[in-house]
Amino acid sequence: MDIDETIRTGLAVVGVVVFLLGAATYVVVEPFVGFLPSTFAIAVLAGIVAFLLGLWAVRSAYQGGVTQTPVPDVELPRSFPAPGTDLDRTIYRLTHLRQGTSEYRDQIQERLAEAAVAAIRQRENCTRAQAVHQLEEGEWTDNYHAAAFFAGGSPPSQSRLDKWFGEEKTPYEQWVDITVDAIAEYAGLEGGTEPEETTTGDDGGLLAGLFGGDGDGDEGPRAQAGYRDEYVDEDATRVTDSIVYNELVETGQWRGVTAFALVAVGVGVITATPAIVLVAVLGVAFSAYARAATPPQLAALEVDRTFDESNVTPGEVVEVTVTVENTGGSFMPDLRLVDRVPGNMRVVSGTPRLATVLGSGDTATFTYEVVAERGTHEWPLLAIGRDFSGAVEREAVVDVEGEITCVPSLRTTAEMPVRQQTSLYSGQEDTSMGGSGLEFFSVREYRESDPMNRIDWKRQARTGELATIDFRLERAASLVFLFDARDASYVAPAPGEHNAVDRSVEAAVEAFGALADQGNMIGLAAFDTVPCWLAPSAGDAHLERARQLFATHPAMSSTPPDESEASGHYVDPMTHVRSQLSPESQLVLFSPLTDDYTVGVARRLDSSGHRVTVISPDPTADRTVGQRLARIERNMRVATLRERDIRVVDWEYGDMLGLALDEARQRWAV
Amino acid sequence: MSTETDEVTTVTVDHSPTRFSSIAAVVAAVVAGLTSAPFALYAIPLGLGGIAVLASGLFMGSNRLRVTMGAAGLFLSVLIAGLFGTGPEILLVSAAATVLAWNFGQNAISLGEQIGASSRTRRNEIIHASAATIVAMVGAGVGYGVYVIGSGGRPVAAVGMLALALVFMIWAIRA
Repeated sequence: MDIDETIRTGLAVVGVVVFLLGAATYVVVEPFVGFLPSTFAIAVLAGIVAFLLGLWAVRSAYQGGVTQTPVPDVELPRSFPAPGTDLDRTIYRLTHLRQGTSEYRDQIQERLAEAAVAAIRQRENCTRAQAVHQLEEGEWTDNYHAAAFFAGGSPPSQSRLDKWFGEEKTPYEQWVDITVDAIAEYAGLEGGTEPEETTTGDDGGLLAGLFGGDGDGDEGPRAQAGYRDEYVDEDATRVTDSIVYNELVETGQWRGVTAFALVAVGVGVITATPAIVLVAVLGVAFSAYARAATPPQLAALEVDRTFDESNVTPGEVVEVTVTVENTGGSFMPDLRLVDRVPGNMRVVSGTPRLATVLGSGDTATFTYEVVAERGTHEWPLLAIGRDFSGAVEREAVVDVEGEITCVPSLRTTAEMPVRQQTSLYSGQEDTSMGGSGLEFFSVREYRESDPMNRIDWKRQARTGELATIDFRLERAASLVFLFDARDASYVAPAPGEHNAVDRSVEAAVEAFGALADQGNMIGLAAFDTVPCWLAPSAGDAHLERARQLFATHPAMSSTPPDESEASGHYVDPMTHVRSQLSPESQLVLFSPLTDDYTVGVARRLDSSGHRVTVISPDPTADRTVGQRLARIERNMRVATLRERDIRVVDWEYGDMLGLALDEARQRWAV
Repeated sequence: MSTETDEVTTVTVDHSPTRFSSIAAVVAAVVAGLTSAPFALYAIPLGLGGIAVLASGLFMGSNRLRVTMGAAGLFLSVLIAGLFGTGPEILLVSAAATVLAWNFGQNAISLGEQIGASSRTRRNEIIHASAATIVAMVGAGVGYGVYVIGSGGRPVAAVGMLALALVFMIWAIRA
């Protein structure tokens, strides 16, 4: 930039000197005309130079383009990927970007093979070695290509016709497709593997976004998956307590106007048309206008945000009113305000944006409505300021005070069956033990110290023997709700849907109330980077604590933990949960089962004597190969768990939890 | 206050160019086309084409390149009008309208991308458009004044030097 400034100053000086010379000639004529070349040559030279520079300016304006601060679509809820996106990404890298050919091929093949082996073991009930053998021999399927996939074959050849008729997939992609379909069919999953063409666009956009495809965002909504959660650039500067400036952006909106002036001068001089040279004056005026731009000052902004209600339950509509005041002495000629609505909330009426002009002391207000979601929310406002001409632009992030607290109410809508593992406290869960209770259980021999009211006096009158009636002992269960809130659980079947962690918490909230009403003791725990533990207990105070935990604990938040925090390692639930788990506690594990880790956890807990029920919201989709494979893998996991006598409630995304529980109860009753 | 989430649908975000600036841009483009036309028939197709391309860049999708191309077409029609002897006054109006059409169009797109057409942007657009128009008027006025005072049979050498000076100056303050 320094060199540029020097050149500009130099040019200006030369320009002034030449101008003075010309002006002097113009006015005084005599002494100058003598030594200046008095031909048209110099004028024409100036014209040609102007014209060429003009073309150069056109080129640089074309190449430079216009830059401006990108603004995310804050109105839409944040999108989470569907499970299996990682496989799609690997295939995309392999086939479109042609990276790491052999390495990625091995990865893909291994993953498919794992799924196929699991499916074979499931169906044939055989050992792993036998399954691998079957797979390698290709005995498992009739499909020639699918069998060849694991037996070192080659992809199906693609006829030229296919290419002509717009078959976009490469042969390798088709091969993976065929194989995944064959595994799905083998595993007995619904054969409907025709992807809905209409919805693939979403995922395509997501993928393209991941690879930084030319995201000028001309068409359609910008993918929310990629938007910055960090609002602040690396080289941002904090100007006041609440305002952070991002780097100044030169928009380049006026870049072409120089070309306008130069071309006009060139054409005018060469063709000796003074009127056209005159037109250049406009180009000069606008160039000067753009050059005179001063960086916008936004430090004097004062923002106030109010809610019509700040303590709400999830799903309620909240009206948000934002008032912005310019408390400084200077005019803000171009102000664009965007309220940075938190990722999990969506705007349902009004817009959280405003473009306006604020004089000193002026205020502007805008109002919109959002659907509140679980959590405590406080969010900043983005203010983009420009000068009059729009040549420079600065984004400021303004922290706004005032938060909205959205705590779920614990409902009693879903009755969840409890397993046969109870605590020492009395409650309403039937056990298979006799004792004091309501329902008849058995009659046994009298033992000393049996209470008198349970002695079978009729039998005593008839036979003279003492016998004791046992009733079915009713005990309270001690349950711990364990949430799988790792990164892998932040998945959703379609963009814009609630992620699996949100669904898990919704389920827990529904089941919590009913279970607590029956006198059970419920505790909460999550595995995540932040340890989360609430010991099983009962009572109103405990319920309130649980509600607050659902709403505010970082481990259960609707957005995944920051990458920097996570750095790949989690607090192992085995260490912090199991050490606090009392031996009679049973576990309700909420997990989308997107990887084998949770399966391992469930099995370990089961082995250590805790009864485990898994409630698993199903986040899988079937639009891409990766998603279909992820669905197969998840089904295999569910089957594995059920084999181990771990109860699994497979909860379809669209269904009510109550329905899923009813279905599960029927299955368990058999 | 409703608690039924399914009843309320998320708003759609409209990133098309904002209305006021788009209309202002097309009006300016029409002014530019009309003023460049009367004295030069050859300018008409370029002018009309320019208007059409510019309008399509604003009303049929949002496309900066088409806006710029449309403005460039209008500019060429201004140049042609000048070559065919249109007077400096009309030429200045025509050129000013061309630059303004281009700038209004850019602003409409920029506001559309950052703020969107469904939000309130009117006040911002009016101030932006007025400021640009004032700059155009002042620039044209000063230029015209100098032109009127300075015209007359003057030595070629002086004209040459002044043209050269103009080129240096423009390049020094290029945007």
